[in-house]
Amino acid sequence: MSTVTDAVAYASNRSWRRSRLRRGFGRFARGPLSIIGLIWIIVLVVVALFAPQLAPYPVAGDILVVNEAPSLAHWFGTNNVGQDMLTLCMYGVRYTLTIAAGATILSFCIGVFVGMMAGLQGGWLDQVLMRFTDFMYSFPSFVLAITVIEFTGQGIVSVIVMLGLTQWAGFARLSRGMTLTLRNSELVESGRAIGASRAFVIRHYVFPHVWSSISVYTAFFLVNIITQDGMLGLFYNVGPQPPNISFGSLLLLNTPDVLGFPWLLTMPVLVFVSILVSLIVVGEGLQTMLSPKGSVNL
Amino acid sequence: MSGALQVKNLHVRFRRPEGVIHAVNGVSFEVASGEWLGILGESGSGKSVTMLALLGLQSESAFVAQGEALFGDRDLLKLSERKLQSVRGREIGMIFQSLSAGLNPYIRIGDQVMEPMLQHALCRKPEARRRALALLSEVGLADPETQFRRYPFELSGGMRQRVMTAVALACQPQLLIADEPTTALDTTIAIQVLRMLRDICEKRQMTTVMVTHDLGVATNVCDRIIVMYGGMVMETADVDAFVARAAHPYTRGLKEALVDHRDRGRPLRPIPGAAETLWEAPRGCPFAPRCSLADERCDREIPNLIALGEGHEAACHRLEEGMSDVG
Repeated sequence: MSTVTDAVAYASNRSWRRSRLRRGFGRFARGPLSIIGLIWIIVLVVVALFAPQLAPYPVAGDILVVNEAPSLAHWFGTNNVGQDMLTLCMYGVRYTLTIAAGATILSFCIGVFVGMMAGLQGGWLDQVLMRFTDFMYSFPSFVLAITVIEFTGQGIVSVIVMLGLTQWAGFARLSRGMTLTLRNSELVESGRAIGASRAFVIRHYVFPHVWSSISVYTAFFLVNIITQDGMLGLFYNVGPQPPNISFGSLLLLNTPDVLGFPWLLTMPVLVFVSILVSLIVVGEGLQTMLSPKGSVNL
Repeated sequence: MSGALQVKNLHVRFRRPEGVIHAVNGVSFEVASGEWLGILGESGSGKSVTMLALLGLQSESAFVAQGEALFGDRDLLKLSERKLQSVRGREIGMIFQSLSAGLNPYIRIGDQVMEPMLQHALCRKPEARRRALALLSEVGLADPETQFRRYPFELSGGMRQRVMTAVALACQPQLLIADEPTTALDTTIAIQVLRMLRDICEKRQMTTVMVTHDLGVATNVCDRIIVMYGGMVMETADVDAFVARAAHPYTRGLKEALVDHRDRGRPLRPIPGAAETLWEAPRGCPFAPRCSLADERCDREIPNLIALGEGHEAACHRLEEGMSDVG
């Protein structure tokens, strides 16, 4: 009898922290899709980081192997100037993930700053900031992005900056909402009651809540940014120019040859879609994990 | 015994789009040092707002219209935010009602207990850690070393309330304000927590003001009780006088609305009506609309606190008239 309770007490003491992590992760892993998505994203990140080392051929291509179908030598085939499609896709992943990470970080910082400012200060500043946010939300940001890129050039940095500067409205709205509910809460009161400074309360009492309320949004935001970047490249030919490759420009350049050589379109599209789907799946896993439903502590 | 805290004629109002709510309308009271004062009142009687206003923690729509609160030789209501910051947590500790909001869910409880000491630069981290562990065991948490690393959601309600107490006591404040410390707990745990609080306060000779709406809790632990209604003090009495000779119709109504095991079979008499939102300052007795003894004088004239005995005062025209009849 006592051995049983002892064993239980022992086990619960030893594995307390680990089991809590496992419970959270277990909820994430409940759908095997989330795990597959997460693994795939990790693989893609590795590919993105080491594309130059991992790519089987140089980007420049080999004029002797033009328009070859997928084979053991060229898994994804080659295009009309003899570039290996697998190599191009790897560089495409590198480019896409860089844009996604950069633009998301930038949007996050701007949006959360604006939203928390508005929520904390209130009054006229809130009004001004939020009307500006509404303006950004409804503004045809593509037009702005294309116009500015025409002036600043086609580098990765200008794409990141343009997407980052135009897409932050959602972050601002969400973080303002969370900040407002917290501003007069007993939680913030309790933080102030220990004599903490305003900055401390904002950093340790307000921001963590804001972050947890927008973390899922951030995952879906990445999907949005990648799609937008793809569209910029595909429809407006905005983005890096050869020899740099984005998925958008890859599709654009290959489109004329698609009828005869379908792998030029299918392979990049498959990779591109796999990025989006795995991000969505991970976002949903995150949502399940953070959802209060089923998070009962016993 | 000198007064630890002296509140004089405090008025707190809320600005709302629909108008101004007069939440606290001229509250005056004094807490002797070492005393345990209970402030009793129903929801909306202004008891919590009074306490929050003392520390400048009232919500942004609230403002202090008038009054002073002498704490030592300073008027808390006139201190700058920066000065107040050095009082909060350091000289005046506060315990909150809500078990979920009183602690930061993202910070380990050990760090939360250490935080006031670090904020007020009382000591450095290793020393703060040592003191925090001592505090956690002082508030009756078993195995403080393990608890130290836990997050609030891993603790039960009673444990959380104990941790909150440890946070409030961290800097050894002279004055502890407890805003309904046991309302969120079930009765058995509440009794344990109150006993723990009472012991610690006695040991440290700390002055305590406890806000509660629970008559039983108030009469069990307090030395003196103030009854509030409509943002005004209705009656104040030492706990013995309060139990034996509560005189104000509102206080008597409260006691009659309570189950008394010595008087089984007596029908419970709830006080009719409900507390109203005060959109303007009361012109008469705020309790008059619900009082069975009220006449038109009660609607027209604010009753003053009159002395009924040693340390026993009540604000009621009927009592005043009764006294003059006798005298």
